[in-house]
Amino acid sequence: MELVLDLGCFDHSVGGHCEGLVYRPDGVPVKALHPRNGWVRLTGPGRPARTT
Amino acid sequence: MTAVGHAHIDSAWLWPLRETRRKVARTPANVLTLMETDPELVYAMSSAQQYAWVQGDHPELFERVRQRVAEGRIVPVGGAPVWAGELYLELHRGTLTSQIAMKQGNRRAEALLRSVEYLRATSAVRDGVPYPYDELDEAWRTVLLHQFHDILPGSSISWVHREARETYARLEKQLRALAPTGGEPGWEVVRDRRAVPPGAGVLDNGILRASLDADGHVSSLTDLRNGRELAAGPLGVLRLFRDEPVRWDA
Repeated sequence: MELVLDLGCFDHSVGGHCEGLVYRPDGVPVKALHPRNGWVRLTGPGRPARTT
Repeated sequence: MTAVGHAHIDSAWLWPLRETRRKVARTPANVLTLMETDPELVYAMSSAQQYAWVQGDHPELFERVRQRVAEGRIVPVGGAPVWAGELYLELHRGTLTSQIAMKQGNRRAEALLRSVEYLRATSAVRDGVPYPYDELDEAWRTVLLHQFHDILPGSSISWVHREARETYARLEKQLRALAPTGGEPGWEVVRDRRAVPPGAGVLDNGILRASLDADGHVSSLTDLRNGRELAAGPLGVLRLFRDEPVRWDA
């Protein structure tokens, strides 16, 4: 299962936007988010223990 | 066919260094996530500086990268180009720039570093004065970072070059402070106000020999210590510069 996050970016290109980084509660980076890559895995391999 | 993942992350360009520092955490984080579900994924990551940023800012992420490197799934790459023509890019030609402070700052910092290293090594050997390893190591890292292919040539946004000018000024101050007292490296401009008649000018100080042509340009500049000609063409010639900023101009 994946959580897809819409950060409100325009889809004209990958660059030129603010990007995000999802952290675990303990501060460990999990995965980046940008206009064409907004998913975070919630179950299965590679999922974070808990996502905030 | 073999495909290897890679992200070409410019250390600065249309964004400042600080954004790259953040970006190089995001990209490996994505790659590590993808590797969890794709056992065949291999990723090539370049730039020692970018590894250093990850290590300093996100040690736990760096440790996961290190484990993948040990497994052979993240491959540190870099080094000199191998194949003929690899460096060729139609729009990246020549060495001229409108951001002269980048070239000057880099050259002065390199020259200062070399002088300070000699002077402090002498002080360490002769007088037992501790050698400033950490300070010089950090200074070299800063100089090398700014030799990145869009900072030194002047092809980044003004934000990047404004910060680089400030960094070079700070570096010069720090390096001069590291020179032994009384032994500060430097240079002196000696002005010889005697008129040199056009077409007959040869200036020779025993180290350099400059020949002037009829227009007053330096047509030849020779390093007399090794006989090397330093002028590829007339020096001091003004040239017009056509500004095409959307084509990666510098």
